[in-house]
Amino acid sequence: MGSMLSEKVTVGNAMGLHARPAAQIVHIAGKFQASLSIRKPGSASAADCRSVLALLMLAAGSGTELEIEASGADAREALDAVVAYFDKKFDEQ
Amino acid sequence: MLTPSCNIQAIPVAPGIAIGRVMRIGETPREQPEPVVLAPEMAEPELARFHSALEKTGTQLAGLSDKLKQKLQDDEAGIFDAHILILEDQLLISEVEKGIKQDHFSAEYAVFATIEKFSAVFNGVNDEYLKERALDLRDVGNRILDNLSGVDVAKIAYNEPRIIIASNLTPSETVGLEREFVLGFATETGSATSHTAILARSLKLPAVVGVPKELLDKLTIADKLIVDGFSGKLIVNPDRHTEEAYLLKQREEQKFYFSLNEENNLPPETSDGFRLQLAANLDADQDYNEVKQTAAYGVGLFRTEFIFMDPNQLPDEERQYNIYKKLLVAAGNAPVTIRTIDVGGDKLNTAILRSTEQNPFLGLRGIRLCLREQRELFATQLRALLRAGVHGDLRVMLPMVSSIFEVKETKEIIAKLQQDLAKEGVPCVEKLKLGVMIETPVAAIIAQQLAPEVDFFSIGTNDLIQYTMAVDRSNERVAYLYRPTHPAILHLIRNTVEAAREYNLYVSVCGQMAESVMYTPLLLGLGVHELSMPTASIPVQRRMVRSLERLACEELVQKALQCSNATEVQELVRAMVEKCAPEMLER
Repeated sequence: MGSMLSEKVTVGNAMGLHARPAAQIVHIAGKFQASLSIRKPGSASAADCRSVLALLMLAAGSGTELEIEASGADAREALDAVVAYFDKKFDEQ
Repeated sequence: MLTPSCNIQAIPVAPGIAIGRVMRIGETPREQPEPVVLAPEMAEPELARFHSALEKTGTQLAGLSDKLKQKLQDDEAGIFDAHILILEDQLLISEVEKGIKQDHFSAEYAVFATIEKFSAVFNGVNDEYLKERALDLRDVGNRILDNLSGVDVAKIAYNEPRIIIASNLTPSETVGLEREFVLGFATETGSATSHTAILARSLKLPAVVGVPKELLDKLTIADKLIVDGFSGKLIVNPDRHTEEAYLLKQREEQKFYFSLNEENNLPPETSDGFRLQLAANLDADQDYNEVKQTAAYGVGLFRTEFIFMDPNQLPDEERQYNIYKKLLVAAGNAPVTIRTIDVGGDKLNTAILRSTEQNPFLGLRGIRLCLREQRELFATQLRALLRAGVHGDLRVMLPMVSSIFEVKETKEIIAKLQQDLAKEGVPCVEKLKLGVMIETPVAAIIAQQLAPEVDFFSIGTNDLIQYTMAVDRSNERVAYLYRPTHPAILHLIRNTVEAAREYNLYVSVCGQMAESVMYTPLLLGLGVHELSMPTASIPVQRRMVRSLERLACEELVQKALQCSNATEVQELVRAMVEKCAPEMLER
């Protein structure tokens, strides 16, 4: 395992991390080798970005701060892709 | 057990009478599975049952998603795609498997307990949006449970045509409905502009909204209902006498509509020979045949927002060209008015809107958005329209115009595109018929100045009323102020028509005012040339026009313009309709 990369993001859309964006994150994560997860800061357990259920159960509403972690071959690219999706507010207003 | 007979007053939103048994869709109050513990050797068959239910559910969800994608409702389809991922989620599967293998629960209870466990996470949350996420989980769970119980939901529901009851109808709930098995609708929430109402009217089925939740929750599939979409009455388990009376009324209605359809070939002309053109409003997912069947005068409003719904894939010029061309070819010589992208206000579109606004109805919407933030998208649409225009009688109309510069700027873009296309040797319309929507008070007031710049006006009454009366049309608390018959609205329409007359422009009206026959005497008297409405309303509107005399309508308008309030005007109209078309009252 390579070193762990991580970045902080904020849930920017009004509806929070709901089913459609969660599914989109699973879809993005599927394009990379790296293992990707998201945790609430301070929380012991992290949600695997390949599980839509785990992502939903973060119960991350609008304005929630989250930490995205990536490790493995293409960790940088994978992390950037997910962060970019958060930055776009999941393509919602 | 039948629910005791009762009779309540709801709000009518789509005319007609439906009599039949109930089918509930959407969130179903279902019985909670018992925590059944089975013999250990039953674990294997239970697992097999669970997996076959999973597979069945997956196929159903994929089918629903495809169906929506075909209708270009990709946003809605995205929800089903997310549900498929939940269904396939290892977290869910292994939790259910654990319940079956270790605790020896029945598959039903294991699924139920798993969904409850996962959705409990959302119970403590304060965020209303997030609480709703539990619904996604329950929705998937319920689908699995339905498949486990071996009942084919569709079959039970559809062994006879039924009246659909629901708390509220969303597009994703109605997508699976088969038209021939639906008699009508009764829902708890909604208004005349809600999805329920629009759907019901487009299917030509009666609907009422505002049914108390306590009543809806009590109803079962054995209960019989009468939905009176004229008066708003909802009758539960009627006695024989009442049912017979309604059956009679229903037959008369059918006769009435049948007789209307017989008149499809008659011109929509007043008794003194004025022809009021009746055109159709059409959405991208509707077929032009609907327009042909009602002998409408082409399409008065083709909304293009639908084409731009998929946030992942905005349509390119070629795809748009093909959509517009197909419509124009189908219409033949009949005019087709296509409205450029109208996003903003209540028409949210995540693919096109870049920011959230405090007050979207007064924000960057319609033509404003196109010119300020989406010029490229706008230019692509105009290019596709210019190219498609050679295939028929195309008119292009701009939404939400509030300044003459918006028209001039658009014309500059069009001129530039025409030059480009000519250079490229691509065939396109040389003289594009361009019009503006009059849907803001400012546009109605400066109609005189706008007129020389354009070829036609189309009055969008829904927004014009909302902006003039300063009433949010989705806010029930101020709904009493939303009055199409208000003299202020009539003055604005008159100003628009007078400006148009001076420059020899064609004036159409779209919006709900053009749809309801009770406003026809006013619009006719004000001197508009065309009403554009959903195809379902055209036959009854044709009868209305044929019952009226234009001169009398003009006199009516003269009186109405002197009135001080909407009620006085409404009474004047009512008196006239009572005299010349009594069968039209309440329609």
